[in-house]
Amino acid sequence: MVFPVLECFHILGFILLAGSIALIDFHLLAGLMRDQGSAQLTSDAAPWTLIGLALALISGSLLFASDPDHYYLNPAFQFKMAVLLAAIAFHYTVHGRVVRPGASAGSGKLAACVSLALWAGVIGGGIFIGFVNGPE
Amino acid sequence: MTPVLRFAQWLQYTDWAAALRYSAQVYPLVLSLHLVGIAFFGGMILFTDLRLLGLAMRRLPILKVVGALRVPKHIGITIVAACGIAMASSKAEEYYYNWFFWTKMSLLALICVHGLAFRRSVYRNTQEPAPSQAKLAGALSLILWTSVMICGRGIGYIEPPLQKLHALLWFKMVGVAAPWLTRICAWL
Repeated sequence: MVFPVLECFHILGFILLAGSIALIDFHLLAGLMRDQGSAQLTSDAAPWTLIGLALALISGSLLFASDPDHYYLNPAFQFKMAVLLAAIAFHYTVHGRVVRPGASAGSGKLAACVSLALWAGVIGGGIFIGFVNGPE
Repeated sequence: MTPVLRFAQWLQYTDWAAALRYSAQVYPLVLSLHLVGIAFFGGMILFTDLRLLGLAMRRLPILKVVGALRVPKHIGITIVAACGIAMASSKAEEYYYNWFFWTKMSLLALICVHGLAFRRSVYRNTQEPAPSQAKLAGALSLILWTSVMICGRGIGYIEPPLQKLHALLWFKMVGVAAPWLTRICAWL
């Protein structure tokens, strides 16, 4: 019963995490809430990104701890962790820079595409954990 | 046999549903797209609810947030629902016996009712909605969508009733025939 409950918290966490980041990405890429400043929107979303990240990381670690051997040899899990590290690093460096007032629209669009691709990769990697097997 | 069950059996034996069911790569890809859509666009539902509750983006009027997120939310639900329908079709007979699936579908129907009930007062209000109405709409939406998410995850935990599944009839026939076949082989 604990595992499925943790999974639900994990899903809720990554919806907050990726959803709040996607909001900024769609703003940069497709002009969602065009009349709002990118920096202002980012500061609106940032606390929810952090709550989502905390929720997803805590529940994710506990899910991992339930059966570490099963996970760390799984190629989909390894892929997910690599992309997750890249996504978090990208978010708190490049992504934070392109929303500043002086940044060019082109760099914003590029960063939004990279960000969406990275987070989609993390989620897709997570799904594939259940469909691929590690070495026995 | 109920018409719904007959429809479910027909549906899962359509070429594309069967192909999806037996594909080792496409099924998880569709499931991934379902969840990526939920994260990217479900996040917008969450933000709408948080704004209605007065917890996020308080500097912007409700009207503005609801209006700006309406179209992307519609695009999102189309993607997520398309993936969902494809996956449910591929396992239609199994899902017929899955109470989490039916609860999820009932909750989605309730969400439609919720949207209609608060259409005039909140979602399509031309003036800024009353905070009490907005909070009620936001709280109910949050509860309903969270329940949908929980039921969605729950679907995967229900074991299909193997003895009832039409898909397994062939295996059952082989099972009945097997002792006779071994007897005949031994006799030969």
